[in-house]
Amino acid sequence: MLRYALKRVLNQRTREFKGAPTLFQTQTWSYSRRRIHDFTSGLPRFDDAASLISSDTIYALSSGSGRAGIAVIRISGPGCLDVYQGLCPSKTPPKPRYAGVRTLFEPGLADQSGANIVDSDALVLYFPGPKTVTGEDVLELHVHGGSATVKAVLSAVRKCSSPGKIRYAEPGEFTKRSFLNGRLDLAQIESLGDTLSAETEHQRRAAVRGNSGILGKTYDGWREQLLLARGEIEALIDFSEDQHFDESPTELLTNVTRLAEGIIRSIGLHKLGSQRSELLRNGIRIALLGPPNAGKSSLMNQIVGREASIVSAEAGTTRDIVEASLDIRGYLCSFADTAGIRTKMSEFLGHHDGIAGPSTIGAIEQEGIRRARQKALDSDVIIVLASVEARESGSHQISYDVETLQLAAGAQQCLVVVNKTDVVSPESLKLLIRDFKSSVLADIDGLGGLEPLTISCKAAVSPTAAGLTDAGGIHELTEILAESFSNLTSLPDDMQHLLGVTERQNQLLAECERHLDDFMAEARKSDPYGGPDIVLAAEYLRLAGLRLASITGRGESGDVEEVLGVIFEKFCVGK
Amino acid sequence: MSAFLRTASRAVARPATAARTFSTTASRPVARITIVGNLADTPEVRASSTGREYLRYAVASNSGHGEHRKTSWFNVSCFVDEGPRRDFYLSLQKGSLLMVEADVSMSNYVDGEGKPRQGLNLAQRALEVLKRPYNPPAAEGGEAEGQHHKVIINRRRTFATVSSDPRPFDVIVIGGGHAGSEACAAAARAGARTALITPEIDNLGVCSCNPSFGGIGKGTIVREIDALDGLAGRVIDKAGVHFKILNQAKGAAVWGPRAQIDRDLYKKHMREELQTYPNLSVVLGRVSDIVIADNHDDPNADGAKNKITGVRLESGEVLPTTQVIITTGTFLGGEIHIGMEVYPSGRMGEQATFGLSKSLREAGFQLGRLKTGTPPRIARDSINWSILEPQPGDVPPAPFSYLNDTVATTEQLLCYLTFTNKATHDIVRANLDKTIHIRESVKGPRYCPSLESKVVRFGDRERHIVWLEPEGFDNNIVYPNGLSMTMPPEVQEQVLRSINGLEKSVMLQPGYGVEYDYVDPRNLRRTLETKPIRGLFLAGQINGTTGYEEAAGQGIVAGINAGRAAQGLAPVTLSRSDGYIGIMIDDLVTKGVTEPYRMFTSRSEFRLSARSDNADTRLTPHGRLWGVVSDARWARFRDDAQRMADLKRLLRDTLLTPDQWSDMGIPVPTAITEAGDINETGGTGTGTDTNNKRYRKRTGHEVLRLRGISADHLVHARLPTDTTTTTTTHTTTATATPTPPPSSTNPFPPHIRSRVAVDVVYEPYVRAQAAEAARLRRDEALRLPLDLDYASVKGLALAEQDVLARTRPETLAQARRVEGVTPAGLVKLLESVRRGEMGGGRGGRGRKVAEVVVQGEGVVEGLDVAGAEDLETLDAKSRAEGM
Repeated sequence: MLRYALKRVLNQRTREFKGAPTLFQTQTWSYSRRRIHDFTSGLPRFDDAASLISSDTIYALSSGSGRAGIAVIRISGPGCLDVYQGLCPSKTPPKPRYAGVRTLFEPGLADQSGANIVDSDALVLYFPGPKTVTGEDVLELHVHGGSATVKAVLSAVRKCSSPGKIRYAEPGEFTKRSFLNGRLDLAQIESLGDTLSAETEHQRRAAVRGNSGILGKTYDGWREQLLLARGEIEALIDFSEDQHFDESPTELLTNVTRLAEGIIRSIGLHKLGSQRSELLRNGIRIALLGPPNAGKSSLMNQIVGREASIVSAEAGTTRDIVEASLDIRGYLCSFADTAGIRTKMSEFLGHHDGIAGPSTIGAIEQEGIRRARQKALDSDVIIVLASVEARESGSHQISYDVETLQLAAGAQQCLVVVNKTDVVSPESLKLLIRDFKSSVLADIDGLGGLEPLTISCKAAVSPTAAGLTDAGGIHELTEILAESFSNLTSLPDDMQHLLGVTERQNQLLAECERHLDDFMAEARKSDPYGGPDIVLAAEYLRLAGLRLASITGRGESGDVEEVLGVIFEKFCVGK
Repeated sequence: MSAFLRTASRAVARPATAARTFSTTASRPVARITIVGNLADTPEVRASSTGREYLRYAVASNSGHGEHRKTSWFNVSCFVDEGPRRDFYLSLQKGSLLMVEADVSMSNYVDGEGKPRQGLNLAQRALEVLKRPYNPPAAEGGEAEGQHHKVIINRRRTFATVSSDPRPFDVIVIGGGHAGSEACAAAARAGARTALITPEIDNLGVCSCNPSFGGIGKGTIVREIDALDGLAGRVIDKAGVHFKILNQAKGAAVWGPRAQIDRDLYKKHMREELQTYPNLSVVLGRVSDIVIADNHDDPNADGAKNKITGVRLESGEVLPTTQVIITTGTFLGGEIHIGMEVYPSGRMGEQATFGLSKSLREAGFQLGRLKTGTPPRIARDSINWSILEPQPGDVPPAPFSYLNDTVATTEQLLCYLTFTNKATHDIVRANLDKTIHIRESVKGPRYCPSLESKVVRFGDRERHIVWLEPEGFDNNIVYPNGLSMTMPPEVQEQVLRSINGLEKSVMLQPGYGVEYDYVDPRNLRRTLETKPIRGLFLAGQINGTTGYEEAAGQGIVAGINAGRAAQGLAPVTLSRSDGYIGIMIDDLVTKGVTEPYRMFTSRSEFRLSARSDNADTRLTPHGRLWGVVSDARWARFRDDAQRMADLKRLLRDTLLTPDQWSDMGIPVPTAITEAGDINETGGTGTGTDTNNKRYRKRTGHEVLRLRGISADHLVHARLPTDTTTTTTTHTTTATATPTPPPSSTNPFPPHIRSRVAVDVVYEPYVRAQAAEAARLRRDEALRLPLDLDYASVKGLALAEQDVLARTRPETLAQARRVEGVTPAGLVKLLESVRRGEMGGGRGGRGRKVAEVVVQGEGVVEGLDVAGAEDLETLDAKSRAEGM
């Protein structure tokens, strides 16, 4: 009888908790559908296999690699219809398994004006479970493929209200749900193999890699700070009672609070910055290399079509890396303009001819050059710039830097471009190029048969002949660049996929921030009824740490050992 | 023995034929079985969950001959009311040859891992005693000593003695320390005939290091052991001299019950417990080796190439068995270090074990070396106590065992506090070159460092804490906790005398370091059975852990599984969400160890839900299903659970204004604003006067979650249920603290009240963690074959292949936690396993535990029958009968 009594109590309690705000908003408890092991009742309940699926509703961009006119966003889980209602509030859901055309609105704002339409004429498909790809309810949104649209729709989906949680899918989560629900057969699993690897680790790495791994380093930096904080608070819990600490518990907690504050602050700063540079992080990375004053920044400005970097005649102007993102023939590119590289190997055939520039390389410029090299190594495509320069004698020659050519030879794709062709006649240019090919390029492995492109940024800025369709050859360069993209053996992750990954990271980061805020709230409690509950505070820090760990893809091996490492490093505990 | 058993096995064939004949004559559907076999043990009375009593006994029946002989164990339930008939059944002796006719039914249920299983239920219809066991004059322990180097000690009240029983032991446990004691008791409780082999009877339950149990994290392990009906908790309650709950100023989630114990009392009570334990024999002897045989023909090998067939004693005698648990602690290749001296020994004055190390290594185990240490001991009467700061125990002391309301001692001893100083550190620094222990590269623990490493690593610290702990009531030995050192004895004496209060102290025994072999625990399954050898279990310090509690926690899991395996029952495991024992075992088998493993609460991601107060609600139901929780404990558990549920319901349904709560003795602070409410549950609590906060009604649950309200308030509160017993309650105003009514008439005694208060406060957090726990169990249900060829898994990175092949995880959940395995790698693993399943037929690669077909007269036996049907079908039965 006891079992039944308890079950009754539990049911009643469960009802009581329905709709109540839980403290941990990241993990939801589905009150109505699932019954999960309840520790407080003490009688374990076992779920049958069918109900073992998490009640979260997940979504992801699921169209394959490569840019297309249409992007498919797939949503799976019990909240599918809630999402539909959020996006198309006044329309009835399409007949199951039939496509319907709908206008998607920003959830919560719909019907007021046209301004909050996220996509018009989207195709919407609804598949009720269990006979769907994941075995759950599935909603598919076929939206226009532009990155802005996709991004807007992705963030609109998350904003839909639903009793369960709606979140971006973990890597491989759709597959896992299909698997757990017995919806995948062998052939399907195998054919999914490649797609999955694109969908998961590869993307993550690409996303965290960012610019020379700066983003990954940022996340790891926070994680380390958090480990320090957790080490102190855990030491307080596990050892302060029977061990001697130099610091009082209050001091320790103050330390921890300070660390957490620091992390919260830098996450805030990061969020500001990331909005600006989000697109920069993704796409094909192109580096512009060349000796100082060869016209790299001018070329970049030509291609980017806006003033993205300072252009001046003084050599060594671009001392840091200036980046711009753009869409070239459907490829998202990140264009990096680097500092001019001057090395001992620099071959200024006429350097005594008075090209302006400091004769010695300053520390700042040296750092700029170092970064340029680093950038080149990280890039998918390298464009090496050389230029036609006049000698004192009046004749012309091509000025170039050997190291940049060597770097280019090591890249997946490279272009050698000769700028300032406007200063010589087409005939002498031909001769110069021929010499350049035979005496310079032929000596460098991998660049032997390469045909240098000739451009003139100056001509592109002020076209002299109105009839000239491609003044300065910039257009041709762009075409060839686009061609080289398709030649890339392994395309870097499609930008749209990266939008998804970025979305997931932002969500995790937001959760991390919320847990840190919870921690601060708990840690600052002090009233006549007692101070903070250290154990709860520690729990919030742990949850925040988990979020950071999953951003950087540390798997789930956990960081207990690292936390303990901090404790034993800092405190002398033991008998 | 063989002649006797042959008779028995021949006897099996006949009734089975009869059963077939019988079934052909039946006119209606019938499922019945006839078994002829030996009674495994005296039948016992059990209670179904509805409280109905029934008898339960096991009959062993053999089939096949020689090496092919196979024993099947049938658990039979018998519904018989109290009376002469039941008395007759209860008087049946173990070993009696019986013919049992029983109704058979299959039941479906879900096991502890969430897998659907089938069980076979046998309800007795008729029973006939064919032959009584031969009973030689009881050979009580002691007489046979000498010749065989083996003495069987048996002081049970039953008539049968082990020495007269010709059957081999089901389970043999080597070593009688903390792991060994729990292991052998658990195996015996699970229903296996168990032998504990130890060189000396005096070694049972010896505490070789500090005279204390529990602490933060560790204390919870002891409670968990107790919840599974283990020994430690009850023995500590008998032997404790000082009880204290650590971390009381922090949340209940990290309370750490701790007890100082009287060494001699602990040993005495543990020995008594083991010597009188049903199903358990203590065998004196030294094991020189394990005996193993090839296991290639086992369809359920799951990577185990060998299997256990027995153990060899130093006398040369071989004891046959199928399950062995090795719990040899630091004795495996043990070496003691004092100063520059090194000699082989497991503990001061005792021999180390070397043969086992060799055979384990030969069997393919990876062995490593670890070290630990112990401080010198001081004569109590040589310490100047008067200048030291005492630390008293809690009043009243809280017992460890859920069965106990109080502890044995009424007078607690004091611990004292002192510190090292600059002079101490200087002596240590001057003598650092005189110890071999810390100069070696073998890994010692980071958290329990010797005084030498404290001085070296934290050179700027001016003092280190030293606890002076009494070793017992009538004991002149004091244990200086914090002074573990390995320098030469004369230096240790100097060190001691440099410390405040110890200036004239007499050192009774120098501190020393121990270096020993451990087996890489990644060689183990989660049941603590080794992966390479079927039937071999390892538990305790041999797996690279440190501490009594950690050892005992492993012992109980190994014991339960060995006991069940001996009877053909399915293996059982504890998940991380179940508690600290689950956390520990998962950490060990997944990550291995680099230093002696000790439990900390920070290791648990379920710290808020798996607490020291609720170990019984977490584990006792598991234990009951696994057949290791006694009726007495089950009854107590159910009673407590019922009371807690009632009180929670009462509190939930009580909606009162602050003044009314204050009248009851729970002073709701009026200063608290809405924002001050913790974990507002919303909806239910808002009374009619929402505008006026002073009169806002709150439920009991809401009130308990308010800041400033503690468990003590509820303990002393006057609840509505109490008013029926005390007539004057309502007239009393809330001026004085109301006292609770006497506990005899109180439906909610203090321990129930404080547990409910803690539970209510943590409930929202527990719910949040439950989602994590559910996800964990889901992944734990996805089994990975142990012989999986990771190199052939398509798409797995080399580094992942490498680390997975080293760890050989049993489940996806475990693989997920292996360091270096990425989410993408997991998906690949999932695919690969799925493919394997499809290639080899459903479930073709796992160890098929639930559906073993015994080739005995066509009887299909669902072997996993323990416990489950007791709760499920018996409930159904009694309900049906009650109608």
